[in-house]
Amino acid sequence: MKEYPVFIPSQDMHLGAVITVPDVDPRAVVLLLTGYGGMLRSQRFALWTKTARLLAGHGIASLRLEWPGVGDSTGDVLADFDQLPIAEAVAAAKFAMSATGTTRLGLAGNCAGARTSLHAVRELPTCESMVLFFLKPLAQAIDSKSLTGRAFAIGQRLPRFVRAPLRALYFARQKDRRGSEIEDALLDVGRSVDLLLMESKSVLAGSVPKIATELTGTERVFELRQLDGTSMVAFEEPSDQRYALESVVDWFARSFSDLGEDARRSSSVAAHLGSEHSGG
Amino acid sequence: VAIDTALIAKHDSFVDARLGVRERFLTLRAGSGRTVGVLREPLESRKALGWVVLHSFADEFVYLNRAEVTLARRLASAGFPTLMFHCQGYGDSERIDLTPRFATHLADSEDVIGQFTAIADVAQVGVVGMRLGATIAARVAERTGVASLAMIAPIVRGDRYVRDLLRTQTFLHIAAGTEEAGSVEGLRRTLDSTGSVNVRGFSLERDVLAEIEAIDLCADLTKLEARVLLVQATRTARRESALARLSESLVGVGASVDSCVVTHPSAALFGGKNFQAAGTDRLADVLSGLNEAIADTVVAWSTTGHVPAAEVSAQ
Repeated sequence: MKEYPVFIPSQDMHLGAVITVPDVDPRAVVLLLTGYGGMLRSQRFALWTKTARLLAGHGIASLRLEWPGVGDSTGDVLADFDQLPIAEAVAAAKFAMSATGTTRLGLAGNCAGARTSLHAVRELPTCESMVLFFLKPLAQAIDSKSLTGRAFAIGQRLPRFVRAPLRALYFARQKDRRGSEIEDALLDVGRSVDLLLMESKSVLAGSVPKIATELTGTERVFELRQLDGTSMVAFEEPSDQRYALESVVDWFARSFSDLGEDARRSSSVAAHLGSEHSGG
Repeated sequence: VAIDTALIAKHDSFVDARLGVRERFLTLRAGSGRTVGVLREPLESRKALGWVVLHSFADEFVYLNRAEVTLARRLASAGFPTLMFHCQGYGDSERIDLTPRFATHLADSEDVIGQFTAIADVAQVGVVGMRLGATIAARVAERTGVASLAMIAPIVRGDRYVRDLLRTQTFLHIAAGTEEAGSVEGLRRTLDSTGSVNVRGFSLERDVLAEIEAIDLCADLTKLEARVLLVQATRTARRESALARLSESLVGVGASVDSCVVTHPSAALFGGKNFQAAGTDRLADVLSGLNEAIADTVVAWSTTGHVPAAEVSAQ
């Protein structure tokens, strides 16, 4: 395994990234994208660094990227969910494919990185497989000083049995405004690439299970796995870190396996929490 | 082999003409393994002094990164070659599964500083750090005899730092609404019974925390013949007594000390989550102004030998 840090030109910026390549000719290359919030290319708790090195053990190259203004990337910080860094992700994916000599592509993203992947894949026709962490179709970043933010802060102090239905009501009201566009994209993408969704318990109560049912039975492999956590504590449990790492490595190893259809569809990683939907 | 190494090599550096700086990735030796570093160097009028940035501990490695990169780019633009790197157990380091501790930070930093003068072609070395990174920088400065030391919001007492780490963990559980909110005392009991405790996603072992708790910078430093800049980052201009004591101790062991207080409304978040919601579906770095003011202060001090003002108000 070898690692090469690079600056990828994108528009008038240079994006900090590390390419990890196996000792053999790579079977595929996976783009590893972080969420917003200033996360470095290694991701929280070095999850992407560990993922990249384990993928290399399966003959898969990877590129882990820093968004503009973050880490070693130049440019202004972009942290707006309505202006996702799609052009940057596409530029990085094209660079990764050129550098590693393969056009077989996978995308993995967390939060804003997941939403970016969902759009970037439309411009990356050779993408075969994706892992999306905490896509949270209905979630929004809310300013704590706004009326809604203050209501949320008060809500945090309420007992859980009061908080849960209020939260469900809030998300139900937000659904059409925020969720539908992402859900439509999810359905579209899930029909054309293998897709692993790693979602939190709160989202599983929304429309994601319905999407899972629709995607199950298509030609592509689809799995929905539950990973505990919220925007504040995602990956903070060591067991969640291990589960995330094992799931994403197992997923791409299967997606890009030479062993055929059966290998693509049979996970060696047991479900971590609660329910799991799979099929395709 | 399919890898296009020529393409990769062509992209290991770039020139930022606006800043007058070249940024270049390097592979360095740091303690028990290799690591990745970034050297930022001026295109013209290179100074004899170069800076090495020593990052902080646990998740402060991430949350202080923007402040460190802002500073590194400003220093390089002002003529000072500046190196950043990842200690073992962080980021792109080879030994990513190693549990970092104060001692490994010191060993890795000393190793990199030993390579720095040749890499950056400088005659003198300065070290700079923020929070626990500043504490590490002070200890490394003493052990390596560097010419300059800049300490931004240093941790003077390790026991208070550990107490704050544990306290933050209990706040996180409360904010997330998890049932296991607990208390600092409860976390200490867990530490005693299981040998480790989860703090903001980092599994911290008892001896790692004990090593940090033993830090008393005022007592630990015995000889430091360097120019020292001490920067306090706080909400109000009131001088912290711990930093005043540290300043006296530094003078007592041979250092020449300049101090500056940088105030900012969100300075309490320095070292913590700096990206906060700023309207619906948008995050912003609330510490950008503080980072800029710190960088301005360090650059001015490096260039002229004086702090621009005893107090700086950042927005």
